[in-house]
Amino acid sequence: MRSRRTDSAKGVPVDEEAALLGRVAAEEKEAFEALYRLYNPRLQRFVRSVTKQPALVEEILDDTMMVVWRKAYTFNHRSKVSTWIFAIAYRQALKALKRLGSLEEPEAAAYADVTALGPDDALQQQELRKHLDDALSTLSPDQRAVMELTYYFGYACREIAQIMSCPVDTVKTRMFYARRKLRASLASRREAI
Amino acid sequence: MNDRVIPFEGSMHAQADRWLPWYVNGTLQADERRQVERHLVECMACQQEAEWLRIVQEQFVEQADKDDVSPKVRHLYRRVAKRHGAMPASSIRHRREKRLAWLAALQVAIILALSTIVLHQQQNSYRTLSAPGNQDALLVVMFDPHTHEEQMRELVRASHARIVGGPTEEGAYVLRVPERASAATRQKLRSSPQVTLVEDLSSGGHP
Repeated sequence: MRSRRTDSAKGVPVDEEAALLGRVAAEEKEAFEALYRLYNPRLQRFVRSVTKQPALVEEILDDTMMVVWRKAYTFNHRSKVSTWIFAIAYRQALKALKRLGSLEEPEAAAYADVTALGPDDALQQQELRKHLDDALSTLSPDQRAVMELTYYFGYACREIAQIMSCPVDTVKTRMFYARRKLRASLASRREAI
Repeated sequence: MNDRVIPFEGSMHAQADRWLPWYVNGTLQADERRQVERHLVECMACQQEAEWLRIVQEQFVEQADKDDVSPKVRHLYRRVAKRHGAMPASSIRHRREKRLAWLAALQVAIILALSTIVLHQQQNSYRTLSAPGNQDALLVVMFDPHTHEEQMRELVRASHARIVGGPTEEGAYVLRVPERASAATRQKLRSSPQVTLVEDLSSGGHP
């Protein structure tokens, strides 16, 4: 399972991660460095995918880890460490996009009812393999975050709601529109060929 | 950002459809999974959708396998490591404690300095007119804990000052500087990265 693979990408059990964060809260630099090494690849992937702005990734990661360092003492063990850290990264990503002026209201088309699209055929599936990245770039940052957290990081819907600080139904809604928009994007590419 | 939330209390089909992404990634709870599986048996559209979502997931996993971010990680690590040294305290509590420690240090230093002044005045009463001038200013100075002794000595020497008290337990020193050079010395010390606190206590202890 993807979630288990990524959560234990470095073979660190969940409770050990919490202990590591506890040491970060006590300002142990070695613990912070260990946490940094443990999370950086995952956060980099996540931030890059949500923002689609490679130039912002380093800044967002730095800001995220700074918040982790300063706020580690606020971790209350009600969620996994990874959920807590991803939530910080998500907020920092949105902040950076806002600063850049890239966080706009989703266009009306994002909420268009595209359920009229027929079931996927083999051709569409091949196109998905070829064009997933391009198709993802047509989604909003929120929609990309839901896709990424579900399929790349393997989080449960409730965990994603924690990360994004929103109700579970909002996550389902974002995923609903993300799926539909992904299909529409792939369909438009097929028509363009 | 606009988040029009769609209520999902509708038909079993609608509910199963919303659960499909997490059915595919295997994170549904047991009861949710059973409901989806029951619905999948009889719904061709959801079967196709689940199949499509599996392909989506496979694409993400394939991307993951291609990801090679190690050079960037190293670069980021260097950046954070640089800033690491200058990180602020991690909590309000710690900042408050440090502030209190500083205030305590300042208080101790002031007591120490006043004692020095009183002693100085007592000594002055026995001075002859030919004794060295006492037109001096007293400064309470705290150095950054990472400052080497040699750097401290050099800084004091360059400031034309003499250490006449300290270090206190909190690391505060009392420096005596000629009154005429007092302003310049204070400025010099304050601009030094090795100095964390400079307080002018007096103008030589004279009323």
